[in-house]
Amino acid sequence: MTHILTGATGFVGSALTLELLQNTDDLIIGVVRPKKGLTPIERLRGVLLPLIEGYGLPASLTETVMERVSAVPGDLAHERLGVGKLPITDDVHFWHCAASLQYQDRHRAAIDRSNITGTMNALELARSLGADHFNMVSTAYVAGSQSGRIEPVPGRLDLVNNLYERSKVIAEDIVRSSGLRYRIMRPGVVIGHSQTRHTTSSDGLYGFLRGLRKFRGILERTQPGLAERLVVRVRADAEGTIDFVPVDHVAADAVALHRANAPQGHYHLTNPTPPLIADALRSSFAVAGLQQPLVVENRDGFTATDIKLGDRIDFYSSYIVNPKHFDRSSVDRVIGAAASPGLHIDPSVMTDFCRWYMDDFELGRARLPVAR
Amino acid sequence: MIQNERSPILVLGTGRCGSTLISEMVCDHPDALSISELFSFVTDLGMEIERPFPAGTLSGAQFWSILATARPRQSMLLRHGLKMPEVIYPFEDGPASASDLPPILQAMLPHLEPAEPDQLFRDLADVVCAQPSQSIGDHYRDLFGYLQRRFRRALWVERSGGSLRIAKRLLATFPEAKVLHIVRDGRDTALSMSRHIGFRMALLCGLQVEQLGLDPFGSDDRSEEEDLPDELAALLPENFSASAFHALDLPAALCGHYWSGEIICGLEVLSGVPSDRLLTLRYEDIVTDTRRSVECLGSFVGGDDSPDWVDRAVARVEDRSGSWRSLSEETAGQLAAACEPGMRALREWLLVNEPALVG
Repeated sequence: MTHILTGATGFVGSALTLELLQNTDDLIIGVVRPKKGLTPIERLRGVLLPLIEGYGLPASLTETVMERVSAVPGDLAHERLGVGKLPITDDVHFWHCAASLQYQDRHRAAIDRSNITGTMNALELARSLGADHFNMVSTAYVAGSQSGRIEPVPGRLDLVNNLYERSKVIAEDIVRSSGLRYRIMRPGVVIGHSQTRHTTSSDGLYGFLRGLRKFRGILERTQPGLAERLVVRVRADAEGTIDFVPVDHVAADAVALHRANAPQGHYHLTNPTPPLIADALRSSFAVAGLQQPLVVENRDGFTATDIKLGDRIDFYSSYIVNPKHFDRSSVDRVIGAAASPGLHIDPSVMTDFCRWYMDDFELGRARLPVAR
Repeated sequence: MIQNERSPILVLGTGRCGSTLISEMVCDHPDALSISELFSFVTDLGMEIERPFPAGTLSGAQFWSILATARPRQSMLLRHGLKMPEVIYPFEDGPASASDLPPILQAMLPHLEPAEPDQLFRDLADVVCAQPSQSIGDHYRDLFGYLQRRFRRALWVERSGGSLRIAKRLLATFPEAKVLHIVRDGRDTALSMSRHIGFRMALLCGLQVEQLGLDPFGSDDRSEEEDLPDELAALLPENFSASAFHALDLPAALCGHYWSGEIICGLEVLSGVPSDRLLTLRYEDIVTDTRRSVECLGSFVGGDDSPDWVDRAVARVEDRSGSWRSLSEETAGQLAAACEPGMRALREWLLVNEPALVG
């Protein structure tokens, strides 16, 4: 069997690749955009090999990567992803992991090009290769503004919070109507490795953290010491949960579904034991060096400063208001005991995940022009 | 007339506090050479603070480059027709264009030589480039000394809007200087900042720097561009437009936080200045008790104040008081809260360091 992956250099796609290598004897071909003067295989190996140590995986996996992973150049923007004929003689399983995680209005065209047109182009390639299954990595947050128990059913455009969610709802719809056998896999907010906390993601939790850290920088540039004094208001449902799910758990569930020959359908690759939003906010604000926020139910009484912070973390508000509990029954029905047990993310574990990213972020930060 | 050497004066303030009025008064003074907005423009509106204060020695040509090389932010504003009132170069008469106007031609030279700023610029190029390798402070002193001789003035008085933020650098560079500290109600000042082209530019550039993790005018790396809200992305150098600039939401309360920071940090620096070398003037006093304020200023500058000068200086004062009282109750409340740390620090400071006019 051969697996074709888009987004194999991405956060979820790379974890999925390593999981497939560890749990199957199959070959893997990544469709990779050439970048920074690197060939597709150089780029792919450049991502995968450091992860072996980062995720605490056996060193022997290095050899496996070298033997069983190959790459072809491709781009979401091109028909059939710009991929020509591939010398594949066995069954093909297609994994579409590539996506744009942008959400700003100014990126609307780019988001649609990657997530909607890109999905159409990926389907076309999968169809031309006679793929047995089309596995699409989407997001559990296609649920949009719904709250409470979220069934694994199609998302609704009238409920989306932002352009990213909108693009995913449309892309899922395109997959469902493609005629291919599909599995729509919907992770929660994917965070680093459950054991090592290692991450290559800069989105989700990490984008939120970065937004807070940069907000602190703005406060300090505006008035030294302000970040230590100012208490900002954040609109959130503190008692609800936020579905942070470790990347290795997502990959494990996805590969287990594949190996169990899961039927066509929707699967929430989420954390059965997600943390409280209040705990997540507490850890995030502390690690970002901000005072604990005042959690409120609505924006009444927001000051100019609260609004400015809100603007910077607006995308993430869909995670912290209208809390959701994702129904994993379709996953559990197929893989039962093999399903991810979940990671209990208490405040200390939450802080660990936040600190791992923030330490790495601070190390890579250039010296900024002085304010005084 | 050049008399015995007299201490130069640095006028320090947050900006939008009435210091331009001081420059105008000083400009009329028979003894004082009024250097206006030099440090505003060589620091590119406060976003290149280290560039005009390098460590070690530098040649005359290197110093001239600091004075004469157009800076990107100010050029961007002028290219888009965003000219702040402080920019007084006569574009209609002079050869310099808006896209590459040297820092000292923005205000400093036209302020000294309104009719022929370009001739003065050319003369200075020869003079400054011939200066020996020396510290940056000595370069500035030689420059000011040449201008004092040329205009026959006994001392120089430098005033740049918002110079309180670089007070520490200025006092380290010019330890011989006396300080005229001008203050104004933070609420009026912050409200004025929120509407002023230069402050809006400086503040938005600060926001961009923090969000991008670098200076977008100094680097084309946009790897963290996604972190910019749409309104700030629209003001990156490659996207900049006057309409996006005007559309930027910069609440007065944010400027109030900035003002408080400037006051708190500035007062800390000023606490190291001996009281006999420091004069604090309140803008509100200048407006309401003009003659006494002008006489105080005259005494601080020293020399003989001619009655003519006092009269001319008094006549320059018009009530430019701010309008924070016209804000909605909610907005005014937020502005007041943001300014309160600075107002408190200022009140405490004024208890110890009495302003020029008390009672």
